[in-house]
Amino acid sequence: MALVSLGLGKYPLAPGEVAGFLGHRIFGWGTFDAERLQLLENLIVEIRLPRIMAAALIGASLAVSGAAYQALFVNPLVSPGILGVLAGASCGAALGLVFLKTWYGVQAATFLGGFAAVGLAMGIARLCRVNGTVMLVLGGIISGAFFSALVAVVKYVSDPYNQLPAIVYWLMGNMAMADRGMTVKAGIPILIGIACLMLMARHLNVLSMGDEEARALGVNVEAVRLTVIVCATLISTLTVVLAGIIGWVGLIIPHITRMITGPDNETLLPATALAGAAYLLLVDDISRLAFSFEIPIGIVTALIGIPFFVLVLRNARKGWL
Amino acid sequence: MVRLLFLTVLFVVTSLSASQGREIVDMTGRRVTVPDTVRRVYSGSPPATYLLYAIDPRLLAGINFNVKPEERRLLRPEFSRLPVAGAGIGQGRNINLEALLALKPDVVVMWAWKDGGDGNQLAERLQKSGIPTVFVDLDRLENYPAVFTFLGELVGRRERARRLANHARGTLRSVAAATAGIPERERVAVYYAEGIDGLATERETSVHAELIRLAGARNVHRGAALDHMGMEKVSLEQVLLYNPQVIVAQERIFFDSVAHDRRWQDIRAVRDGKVWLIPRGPFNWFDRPPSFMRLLGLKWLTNRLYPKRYPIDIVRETRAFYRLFLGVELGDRDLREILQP
Repeated sequence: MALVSLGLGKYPLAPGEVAGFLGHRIFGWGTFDAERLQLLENLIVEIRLPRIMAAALIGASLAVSGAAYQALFVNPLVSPGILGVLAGASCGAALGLVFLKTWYGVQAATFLGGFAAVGLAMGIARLCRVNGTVMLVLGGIISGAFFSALVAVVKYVSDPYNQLPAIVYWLMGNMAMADRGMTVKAGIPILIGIACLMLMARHLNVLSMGDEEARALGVNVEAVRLTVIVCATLISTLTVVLAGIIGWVGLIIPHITRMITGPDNETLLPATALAGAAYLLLVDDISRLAFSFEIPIGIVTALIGIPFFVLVLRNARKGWL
Repeated sequence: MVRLLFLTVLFVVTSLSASQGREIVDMTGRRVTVPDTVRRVYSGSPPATYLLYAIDPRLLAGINFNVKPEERRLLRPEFSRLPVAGAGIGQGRNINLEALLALKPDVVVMWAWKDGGDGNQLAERLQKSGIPTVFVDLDRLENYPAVFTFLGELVGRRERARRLANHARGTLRSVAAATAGIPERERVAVYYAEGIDGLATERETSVHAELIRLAGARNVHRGAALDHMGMEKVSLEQVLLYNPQVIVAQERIFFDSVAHDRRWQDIRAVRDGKVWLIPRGPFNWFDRPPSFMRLLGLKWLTNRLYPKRYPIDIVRETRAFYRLFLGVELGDRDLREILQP
């Protein structure tokens, strides 16, 4: 899939040439004209490869954090944004785009915003002194609504000629900002976060039986919950840092994977990571190639995801929820 | 129900207001009755607001958006203090009708680009409250001399408007004469980079990219504009394929990043160091908003693209333009900041 995507793009390159270049690059086969080699290097290694890596990382992150949350909250309708992380990151990004003049500033603000929103959700849950997930979900709803309102405020005060379109486009999802350095910098923590979540799989299995049973089996429920939330927040915030808001992946992909692998998180999480990565790669190829202009990827994930999901639901076996 | 009540009230107010004044024909051919002396004007979009500011800053009853701190330095202090009543450009702060009525403008001036002329909703509503709306045609920079003259007539500043119109006409003529003889294959291929990633642009016929055509260059993104908003997303591979000789950059974030972004290095403009940040201050010289500042932007762009065909001293031109249109004397530091040579 990734190899095929390497050969796809607006710049016409013959598949043979791409294969030849890869052979030359990795094994030293064949000879290339120096200038052509420079162009191919730039196209394939600097433009397409980081984008493909970013798409795979983002797809995997969203799918895994969605699946982990669905297990944690024992609710199949949960998506990665449940604790307000996407709204918080959007708010950070919007503030960054209006008040900070550098891209690094925007990224830092995005990152902080995501964590601030989840912190607020957990704070509200703690304040109400009710343990369990219901309060957390409520906290998430409040926090998400609060930060969405803040985004609207920032949009309103921003300059309508440059800043507002920048915010709007960024919040539609945009894979074009992912260059090699950034993809690597965000990729390492993302991979660590995904690995941590996979290590928690067995605990998540226990948690989905309910808190009481989990405690009886000697699992520290609070500690598990906190770890999962921190990891999921980390990876989903980093997806926004890389490419803005991309919706619908974290809800659909875990479901579809669960239909195939069953509900055991030890197989579900790795499988859903792969499925999410493949899905977003496919969607990104469509958004790059479909028209002369580029469609923001967040729009495509929604437009493709929703009908596809409905179809899958219609054909689903009973009792998979 | 509420709306009905509101309209009734408006109707009563309208029938009370005495109608006197003179009849004029606006730039879409509508007949409008305006007061004999127009003292307070509000405009529905920044390009027209800036035009009025250039003619006489005291005319403005309000402005469309809050003034940004970086704009403030080159504007009269009273401009920043004017009340904000929004704009009719379909995004951000839409016109707040009540705020607008509270400003009691004698006339509202609107750019007639989309739903101008008869049947414009806002114009009809304003008419009911006794405020005439006048449409001006700002679709092409070539119309600006005529717009200056028209507005000068409207607000009774004929002499001032004539000077500005003459300056505008002179700019358009001199650039047209300098670029007329350029053979097709020598026309520079220009890419207009908008957005923080530099990957939004405009098509040839768009009002937002008009300067590229007027300066005798070729916009690499061909075709007719799809809408008035513009900012069409393109992929980096598409820009590589276009391989422009010059990139004019709207956003500083993009301009700062492009030199050391490896992905852009194979593009001719980046390789030859021909990525130019568009000058701005107090208003943009090129676009967003497309205002009268583009008259100076046109000189700047033509001179940078074709220094032999259009040899001007841009520093002197900039000083003269700011003195005439904005009433500011630029210091050396201002000039360095604006022009970024």
